[in-house]
Amino acid sequence: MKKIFYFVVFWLASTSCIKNADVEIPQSEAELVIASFVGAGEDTVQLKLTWSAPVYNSSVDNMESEPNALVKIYNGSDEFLMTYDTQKQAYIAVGTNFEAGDKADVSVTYQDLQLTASCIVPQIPQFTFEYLGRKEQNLYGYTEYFDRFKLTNLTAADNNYYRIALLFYYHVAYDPNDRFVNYGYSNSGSFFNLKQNESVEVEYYIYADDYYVLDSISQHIIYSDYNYFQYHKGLENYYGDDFFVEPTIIYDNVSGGIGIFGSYQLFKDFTSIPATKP
Amino acid sequence: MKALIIYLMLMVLSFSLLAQNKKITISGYVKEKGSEELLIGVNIYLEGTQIGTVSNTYGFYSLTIPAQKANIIFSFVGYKSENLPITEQSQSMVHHVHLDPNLELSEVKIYGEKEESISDKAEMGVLRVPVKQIREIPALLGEKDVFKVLQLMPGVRSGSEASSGLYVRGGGPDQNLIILDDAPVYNAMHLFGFFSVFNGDAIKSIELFKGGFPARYGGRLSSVVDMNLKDGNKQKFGGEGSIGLISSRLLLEGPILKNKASFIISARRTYLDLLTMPIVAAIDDGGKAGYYFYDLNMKVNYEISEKDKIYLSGYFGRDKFYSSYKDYQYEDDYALFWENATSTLRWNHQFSNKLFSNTSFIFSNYQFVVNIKENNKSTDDFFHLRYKSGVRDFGVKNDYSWIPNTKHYVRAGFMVTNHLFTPSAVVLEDASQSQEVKVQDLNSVETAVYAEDEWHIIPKLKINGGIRLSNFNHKEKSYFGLEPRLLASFMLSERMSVKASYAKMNQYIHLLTSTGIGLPTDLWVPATDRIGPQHSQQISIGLARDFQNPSFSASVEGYYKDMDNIITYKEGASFLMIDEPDASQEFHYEDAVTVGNGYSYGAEFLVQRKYGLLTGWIGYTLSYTRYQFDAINNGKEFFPRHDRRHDISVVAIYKIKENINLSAVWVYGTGDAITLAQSQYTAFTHNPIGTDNINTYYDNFSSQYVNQYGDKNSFRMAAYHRLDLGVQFTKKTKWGGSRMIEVSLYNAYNRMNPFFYFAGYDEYTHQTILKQVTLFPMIPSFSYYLKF
Repeated sequence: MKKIFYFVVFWLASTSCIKNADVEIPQSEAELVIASFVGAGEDTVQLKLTWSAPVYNSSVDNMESEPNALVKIYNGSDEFLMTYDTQKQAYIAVGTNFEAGDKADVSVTYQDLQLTASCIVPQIPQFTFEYLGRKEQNLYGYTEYFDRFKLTNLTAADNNYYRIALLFYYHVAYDPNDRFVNYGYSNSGSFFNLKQNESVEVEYYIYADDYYVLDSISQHIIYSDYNYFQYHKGLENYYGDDFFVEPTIIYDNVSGGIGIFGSYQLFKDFTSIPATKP
Repeated sequence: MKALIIYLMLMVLSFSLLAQNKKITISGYVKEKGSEELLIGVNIYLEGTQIGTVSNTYGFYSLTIPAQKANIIFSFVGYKSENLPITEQSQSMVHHVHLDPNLELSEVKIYGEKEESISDKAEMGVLRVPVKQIREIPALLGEKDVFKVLQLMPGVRSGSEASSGLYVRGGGPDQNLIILDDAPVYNAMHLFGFFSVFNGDAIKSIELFKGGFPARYGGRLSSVVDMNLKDGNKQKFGGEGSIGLISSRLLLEGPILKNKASFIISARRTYLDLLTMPIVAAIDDGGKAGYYFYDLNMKVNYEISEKDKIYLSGYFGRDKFYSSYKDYQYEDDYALFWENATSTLRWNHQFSNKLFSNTSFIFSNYQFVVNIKENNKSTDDFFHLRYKSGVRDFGVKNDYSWIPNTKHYVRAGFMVTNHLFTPSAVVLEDASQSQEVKVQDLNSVETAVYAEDEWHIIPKLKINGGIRLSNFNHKEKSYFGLEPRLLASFMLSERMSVKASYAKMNQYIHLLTSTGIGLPTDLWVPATDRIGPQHSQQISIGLARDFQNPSFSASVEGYYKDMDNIITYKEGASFLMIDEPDASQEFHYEDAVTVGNGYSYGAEFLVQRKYGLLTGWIGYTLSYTRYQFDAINNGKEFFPRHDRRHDISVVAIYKIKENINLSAVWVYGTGDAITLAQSQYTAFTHNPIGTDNINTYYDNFSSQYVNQYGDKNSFRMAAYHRLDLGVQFTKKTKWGGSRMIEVSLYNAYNRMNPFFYFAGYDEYTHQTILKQVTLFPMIPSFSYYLKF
């Protein structure tokens, strides 16, 4: 269908008139873009600072990091100067030690540009994360395997923003030292806003052929603020420019520029999973 | 409830008061002289008074009046008026009226006062365009299109350049109930929306309700387009045909039993595929490819007795893309088509000279089908796929009209419809395995009962009050909706009235659309336990004024409409099942959509002249529409693409001589609201890192390039405007028929209206620039019509 549609569009376009648009385009300048996520109880905060490139009527196509900015982060009581790490291409502050409920502020100064953003580190949530077992699915002669999980929120709040991030560790069957890790993918997505006692069940495809052996699954549950959730949810949905697809407006909470400054609580590995080959 | 009881008590009281004088009832059918075609909406009134009625959808009328010396006038746009004198001695009678459509040029100037009148009608937001006028308005490539004429009316706009989609008062294209002889038509578009499926030759009447909905209509939020097919000439055989640039049409009609039964059949087909066939064959040896659409309307009717009539009508239309390839080894066939089929069996029964009923049995089917056949003759390997989606309705509808006196016009009825939605049905077969069939059907039942009364409380005040109770059942979920409707019209003077209306509407089915331009992949789906029905409430207030010498009407209406539970795809989501027709998962559309609400308000001005040497209208709409979805635009309100601040249309048809018509259309509209990328940047995702220290390339961040759009639909396309011109030359033939030559010019001043924008590259500045595609620059066309 898509091919036929594009054919029709091509046909119409080729028999129609193409010209430069005679319309006022919102003139966008290159802007600084922030990406930083504050983890409760983590010693270090990193901040990526890059440039945006206007799409139309601009010769700017540099979206690289900006290493020469003055970047500061505040945890309510102390101010930390973030220094640029050329290897990580990020600004880093050590010893920040944000805790639940702390307000975090960041400021970026570059020449006459001033960017600011803030967020509040979320409280420690109450939830359960269960392993529901392995599912087999036969499709046109092939058997596929999925590991199923259930996340239940017990926190009493109107909005509870969760992210499920699973890392699947494999080794190659004929060489146990040849190991690799994959971020798991679920058809249901990874980001969920749950009410109290609300659950979500997710299933993850796992490799199940003679070549790969599943060793373990590292589980991460992230309980985040709205900024972190909305931004990542947008990226998860992002599809680019496609005629058929609703464009995704990526959330941002930075004034004076673009980007995201969010916070989270991270919880790891709390359920036991049989790491055997199906 | 209390208001309803008081209303009913007052109704009974008024009936008893009226019963005290001697009354006579004149009833019958109004027909066209010469063809016996039943005429809808004919004004029947006592000369010099506001007392009167109109003929209903089946041409039936009933007028109960005091026995006194008076003159009853039967008048209708484009026809010579008739009168019926009565006296004190007159008795109740059945009186069938035949109106003469053959007006001389001199008479054109005379008639048309009462026909134009809108101030004394208890209705608002109703648009009627005489079919004759539709045929006189210039059209793209000469293809006369009912919907494109409706789009020229205030409050109604198209989706995009040359699209036949209707957006009414801020509502989406899914919120329009399009009915043809009582049967709903689910996809009213040919060729991705460039043409509507309705062939104007066979249409008898068109009404569009955009507000002030009477209780007899329901099931959609924004509008009702009610169309009726012609019945067919009961006196003599005849027909008409035309040859245009892309299609030809033929209509035949005539009696089956003279004055008792008749038929009409009308067909249209495009022939681009036939013209391009040799070219395709030359380019691709062994290959065939093309596109065509056709449609077919037919109707037969039979007058069983004075009081009973039956009608059987049907519509079938199909669009098809096809391509095939054949050589010594391979044989491939690809076909993609979508088709509508409707059928209605109607029985009119006249219980008395005041009570009329219609019972309709309705069938409607829409399906979108993809067929793929690939055969390798040397290896006997093959792959066959058939994908189908659609909706099928079976329904029954029973309506009663009771006209006890000139103060009341009561309507009541019920309908039951079974909807069978098929979001996806896949049959897959190849050489390596047996046939695989996956079908998902969703069965639902929709019912409604209604009652309404058009009540002339006092000579200056009319109301149309009603109530509709609807119910929708899908699986174990049941929804009920109570829909009060009220419209009041008060005459400020003899020719000016103020009107106000309120309507609540429920819509139990949703349209999943990726693009909003009416692609055949758009899917109708039912309200479920997870996604409820859509609701709307609309209030409107307006002034209507009729003018004399020359006679024309003018109206201004303001409205406010809110819409709840409307759906759209989530950001990043689409539904192209055809790309993965073998998906193993059952389709749950609820996962792909987000629910939100919207509101629209605006003002509409219309000056219209339906009759005379110079006819046409001037319409202007000022409107604002905003939508809000939690999962779109980060929860912030936005303008939907079809939000249009200013919309102007000027339509003029001038009968310069008995046989020459000049016509012109000028339209202007604010540009569409679209989402345009402003910049690109690197978006970083937070990555939690595992405990096992392998694959050290995993950082705390991963990145992707994304577009920065600003707010959704925050960019406006360039304004749309164009002028169309046409001239028609008609000549009577020696054998009693007529022929017409039409020359028209679409987009006469060659305005380059943008159809869509895209990012292009400028070789001189080496920059990305915004480019536009214009679909239709100035396009002349020529058509030849023959009537016999």
